[in-house]
Amino acid sequence: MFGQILDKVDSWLGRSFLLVRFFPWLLFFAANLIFASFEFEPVRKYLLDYYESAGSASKVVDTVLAIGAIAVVAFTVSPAIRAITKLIEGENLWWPIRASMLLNQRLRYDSFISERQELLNARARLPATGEIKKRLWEASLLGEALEKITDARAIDEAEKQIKSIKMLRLMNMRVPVKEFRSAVISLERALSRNCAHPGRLRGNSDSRNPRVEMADIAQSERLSGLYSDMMDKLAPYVQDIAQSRELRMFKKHESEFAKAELAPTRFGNHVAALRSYCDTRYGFDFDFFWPRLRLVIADDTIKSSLDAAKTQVDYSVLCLALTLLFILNWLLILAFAGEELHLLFVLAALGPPAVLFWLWMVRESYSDYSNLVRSAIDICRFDLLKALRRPLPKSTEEEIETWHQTARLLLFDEHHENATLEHP
Amino acid sequence: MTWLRRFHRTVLLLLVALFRGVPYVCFVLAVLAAGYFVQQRTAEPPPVAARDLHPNHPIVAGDLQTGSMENLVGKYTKYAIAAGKPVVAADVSDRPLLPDIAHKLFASVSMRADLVSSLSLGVGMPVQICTQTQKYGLPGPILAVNCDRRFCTIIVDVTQTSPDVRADELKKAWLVRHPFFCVTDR
Repeated sequence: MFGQILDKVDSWLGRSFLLVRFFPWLLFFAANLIFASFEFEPVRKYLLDYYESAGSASKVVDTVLAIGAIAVVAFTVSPAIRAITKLIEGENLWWPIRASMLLNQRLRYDSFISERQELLNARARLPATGEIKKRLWEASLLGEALEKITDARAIDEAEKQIKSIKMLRLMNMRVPVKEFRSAVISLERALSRNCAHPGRLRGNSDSRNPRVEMADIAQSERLSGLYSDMMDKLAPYVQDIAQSRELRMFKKHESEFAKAELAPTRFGNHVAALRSYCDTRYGFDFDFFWPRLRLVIADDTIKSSLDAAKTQVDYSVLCLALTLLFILNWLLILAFAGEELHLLFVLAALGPPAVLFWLWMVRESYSDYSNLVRSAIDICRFDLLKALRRPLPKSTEEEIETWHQTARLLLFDEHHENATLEHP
Repeated sequence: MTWLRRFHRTVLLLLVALFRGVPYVCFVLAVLAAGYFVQQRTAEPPPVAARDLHPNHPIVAGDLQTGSMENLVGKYTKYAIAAGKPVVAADVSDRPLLPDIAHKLFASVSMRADLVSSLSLGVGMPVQICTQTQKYGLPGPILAVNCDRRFCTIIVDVTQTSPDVRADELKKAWLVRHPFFCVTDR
């Protein structure tokens, strides 16, 4: 029965409305009913009576009316989502709180910059793989020329340091530059003082004890193993992990912060980062051109992916707003009509984690959405230029100028430049 | 005055940073306020007096009705409480109140509690003070009885037993610290 009603509502209002607007409100009303039934005896009795005779015709009518009422509420307040999104971005907040949040975001930004700089410096200080290989090869030639093991302690020292780097590699951790340099120097010293080629070892002619020679072979094999570990695994790994960490930090910074603009909330900075991406890469004014670009995207896959991601963002935003409303609502109800403290404890204990959860959901869903939007802009932005009858640019510089010129014309109503149009 | 400007900026920055806690503080205050209101609403109502209670009345279970009365039984009313009025902890005292002893002469006599109980001595009862086997003055009413587990202190009105002193005169009486003398033209 419930499914049939939902199908009917779906056919009237559309799946997007159902998911983004209706279901959060339905959950909100259901949660309120459950809370009310716990708190107030008459509500509990009413619900039990209703459940026992749920199949009767009058109850079906009641259910339909209730769902219809929820749909009306959801439809009526749907424009509020935009205002709520702006609030989560940090706009229209009370100025002391806004200033305080801005300060926090500024500190986060600075911390990001410091960490990025530290990673960059660390990578710059790392010796190049080619240089390491050359140095170690030259040292090994010197050692081979000796044709014997002259300094076994140097091999022990090199092994100790390389073992520590191997452990970091096994845990996929970044190798500190100092530690790596020290390991390379130790290995270089060990290679230059000992023969790392067991076949080249020459026994001591005046010695009559063959065990000594066996020990030398073992040491030489050990050194050879360390040498190949360093050449084949460790030196490339140290470079790769440093590059990958730096790249990851760069991407995180790019997705979390704009070039110049700073918003008071993390969500606001995600939005600003998207605007900044479009502006710095293409000179594309996101707020102005994106609604127009969405209209001309012809690829169904991109369109449906964007719709699904936007649905998820709006759903999370509404759920966050309704969670806050629920908490506020029940704080007032319990204060003025509550009879027991249990529900207040539940509200105080679960309310903040629920809000934090939805806040996290909003950020994560927006992060997915913004990645999709970036991809869509990368791929489809010229469709908008074509639709606006603007000539397609021949170079990246020309593209930036084209978008700026279009924005000046459409956004700022500046007609002193005679823009060229190109018709298909 | 650069340091002052810098100090102001530091204070301002600190204040700005502290404002971040405002929503959390508001939430905690709202929860506490709601909890207070719920607690006030759901707290058990105090018992009410079943009959008119006089001052210094030792409360028994029959004197109260409704609510939790365990904390009140066995205590003494501090003042008159009309029937139907609530009786709370602030209205009662653990010990009997001192009677009105202004402008009176009284004697304090200590006796064993079991003896007081067997003689059923109570407030208002006329008693004779005795020393050894001799009467001491005339009988006078008991003003107060205050007992612990072993002994009772009984305060007896002896105004009548000292005919040389008139209680009315005590209204004009005054005190000096020993060893100063009373001055007659006062």
